[in-house]
Amino acid sequence: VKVVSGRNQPPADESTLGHLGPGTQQVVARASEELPVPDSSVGRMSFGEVPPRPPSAMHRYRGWARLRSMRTAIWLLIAVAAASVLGSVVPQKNNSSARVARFMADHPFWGTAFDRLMLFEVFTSWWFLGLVGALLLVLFLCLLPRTTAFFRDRRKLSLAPAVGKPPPVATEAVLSVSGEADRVLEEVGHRLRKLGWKISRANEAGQFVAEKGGSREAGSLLFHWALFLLFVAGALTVTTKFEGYVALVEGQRWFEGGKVNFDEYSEGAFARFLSRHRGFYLTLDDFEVRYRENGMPEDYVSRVRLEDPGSGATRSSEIRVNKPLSYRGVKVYQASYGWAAEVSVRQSNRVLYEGPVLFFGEELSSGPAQMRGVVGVVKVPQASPEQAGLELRLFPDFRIVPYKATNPEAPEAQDPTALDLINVSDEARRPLVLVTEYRGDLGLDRPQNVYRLDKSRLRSVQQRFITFPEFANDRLPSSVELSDGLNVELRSLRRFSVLQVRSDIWGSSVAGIAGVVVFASLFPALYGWRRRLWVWVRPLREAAEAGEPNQSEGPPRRAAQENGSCRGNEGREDGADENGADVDGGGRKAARGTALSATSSKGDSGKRDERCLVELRAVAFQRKDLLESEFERVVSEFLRSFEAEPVATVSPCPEPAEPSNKSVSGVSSAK
Amino acid sequence: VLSGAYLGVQVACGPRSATACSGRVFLENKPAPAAVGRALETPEGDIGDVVDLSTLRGKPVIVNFWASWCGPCREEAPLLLEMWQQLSDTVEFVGVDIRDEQAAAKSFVDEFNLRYLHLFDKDARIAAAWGVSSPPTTLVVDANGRLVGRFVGTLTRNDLECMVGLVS
Repeated sequence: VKVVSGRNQPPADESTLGHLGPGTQQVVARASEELPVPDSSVGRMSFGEVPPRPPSAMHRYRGWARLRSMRTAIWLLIAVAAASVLGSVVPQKNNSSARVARFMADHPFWGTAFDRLMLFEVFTSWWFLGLVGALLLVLFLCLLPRTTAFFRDRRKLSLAPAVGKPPPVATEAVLSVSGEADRVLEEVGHRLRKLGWKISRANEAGQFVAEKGGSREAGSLLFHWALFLLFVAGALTVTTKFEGYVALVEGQRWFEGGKVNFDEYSEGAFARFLSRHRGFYLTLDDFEVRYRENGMPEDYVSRVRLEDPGSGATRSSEIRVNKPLSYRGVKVYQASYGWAAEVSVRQSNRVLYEGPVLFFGEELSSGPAQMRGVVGVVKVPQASPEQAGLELRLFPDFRIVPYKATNPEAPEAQDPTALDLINVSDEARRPLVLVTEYRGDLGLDRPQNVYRLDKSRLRSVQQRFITFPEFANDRLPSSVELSDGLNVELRSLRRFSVLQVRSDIWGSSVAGIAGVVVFASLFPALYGWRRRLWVWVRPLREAAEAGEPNQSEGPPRRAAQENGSCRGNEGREDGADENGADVDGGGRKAARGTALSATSSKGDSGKRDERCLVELRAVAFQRKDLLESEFERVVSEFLRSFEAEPVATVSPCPEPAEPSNKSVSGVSSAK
Repeated sequence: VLSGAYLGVQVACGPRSATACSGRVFLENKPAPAAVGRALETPEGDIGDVVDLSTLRGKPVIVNFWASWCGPCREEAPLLLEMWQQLSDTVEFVGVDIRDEQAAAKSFVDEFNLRYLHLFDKDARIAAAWGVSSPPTTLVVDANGRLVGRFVGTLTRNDLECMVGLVS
């Protein structure tokens, strides 16, 4: 037995393996002349056929082929990525409208240009959605032929190959094994399957094909399909989700019924056909903020009660940042919070307004916004003799400081005794409300912000300080009389909590699954390597008659013919030794060395051996460096197993050789 | 595929405007959803009673969704008053005040002297059931209780007359 590794020979190159080279075509043609190809081979692969590469759709690089090429897909992916970067650098209308407005004001030209290009709303712009749509289309067109080819090849692999010659490859071995051909064939297949090879059925010449590493293409396909699914999930999310914000004051009950119930609302194009609103009530029982020592909020929680009049379900829940309340596909997230005051406005015993006023921080051009307090408004169009607007500026924790302390750039001429009012924290330790009374036209016939006064046709009348009843005293009351008998009274100070209500169950669940698959399939796609093994088991005698056994030039005979030796247990009259000698001779003469002849018979002491030639050829399509060791593993496994277990009814060969390369060659020379 | 599906659904289920009159009135044809709520204001003055709009069957009803904080609602209020005074024999007028404070809503009604029936729909449950997305929205229900027309935005005389024309 001799193993010669194929290292010295030029490595098998994928491109030379019968792809499209003219020489290879000739070889194939010659093979088909020499080999009787049965009719049943139609639709099967031929033995010796090198599996095609997955179709890349790049062979005809124009028009349709260009559209469905991976290169187009990658360019589109880069474009989408670039647009996403743009969308995260340029302020977006949907999450920072104030910054957009400031940008527009600061740079009128660029602001208009950006607006025209929809750069302030990249992710909903037609061109971004067009890019994503094109990417989806190209990805789909790329994947379809690859996927069908993958399944076609897998199906083909399970069929017996048409009779042919094994391809000339560098890594090959020939073993002489005692046993009848059928049994050996069966055992070889069994061993290979145990080693994780996927094997085809054997044809009538005793040839079959084994493959390993199909996981690479499978993983790659799975990865790309999952990526496709991820985009589809994104599209599903965009088209079917709804998202709304609502500010609830402590004690307020809110109904989740539709767009009308939200302060801010957006939904996908299909959302209104899906009726995802659940019609439940949410009551904000309590809102609590805990602060760190530096005054920053540490944790805030909305304690809510949910009631569903439809199902009768009720539940109490705490909503924190990243700990949403989930009910029948609708999720309620904690967004932000603020102060609210219960305010009552009367005029001559008529209640004109009674309810909560929400305070919001102003967008200031400079300085800490908190220092200037938060602002809420009451619009009183029914006030007489003209409309009134009240601006309430809340300082939850006020201090009076020298004017110089807060305005260091103030001119020296400033009165040194002047004072300024500032707010020092968000906690209601010393709350103070500065009421500014405006009179005139509230401009309610024009569209305007509910939480702001349109002061363009209002004039400021007076400013007064008030506070909440529990902090009130003689100098700082909780109500104040403004002009014309308009009376403002603060009832209580409460928190409001802004909740985000969202429903995108389709998109997020599909995206979750797709994301897991994307990452999981990456490993086989990157580390899998496909390799193929051509196996030819034939009776030694037959091979000898054909000429050199491990050369593909000899005209192979169909083993299916009844005169095939090695069939049946009856030993032939032909001497096994003679055959063996032939084999050895053939092996030595082999132009393409690497011949490993595992002659298993030494002294056929009394018993007659049937011997078979097991010819193995292997090629790897990726990681060719790994093939050598894998092939040696296969061969040594064969040597070991065929020695350990008799393959046929024939007794195991008394050959004492260890299945290592050196001893094998030693035996060979001894013989 | 998504775009095609969207266009298909739009064509199949999208709103169709009444071509007979103002193009801004959208035709509907379905039973009016339930509307049971507390009264904010009634012509008889019994405030707080639970009212069911389905008891108004037999007469066409103009249902106007409004709020005191809503500017366009203020704009269209004088027109509603005028039309109500003109048509109160043949058409019933109902206001539904949504997401509002009672005192502010009361003073709104007082200010414009809209003395027809108003429901106080503080949590906008009726509005959600009627598919109203924002005030002001005006709907018209025929004498058999079928919702036949919808108008979103500030009413004009032409639009309101068109809606009345749908049911008379």
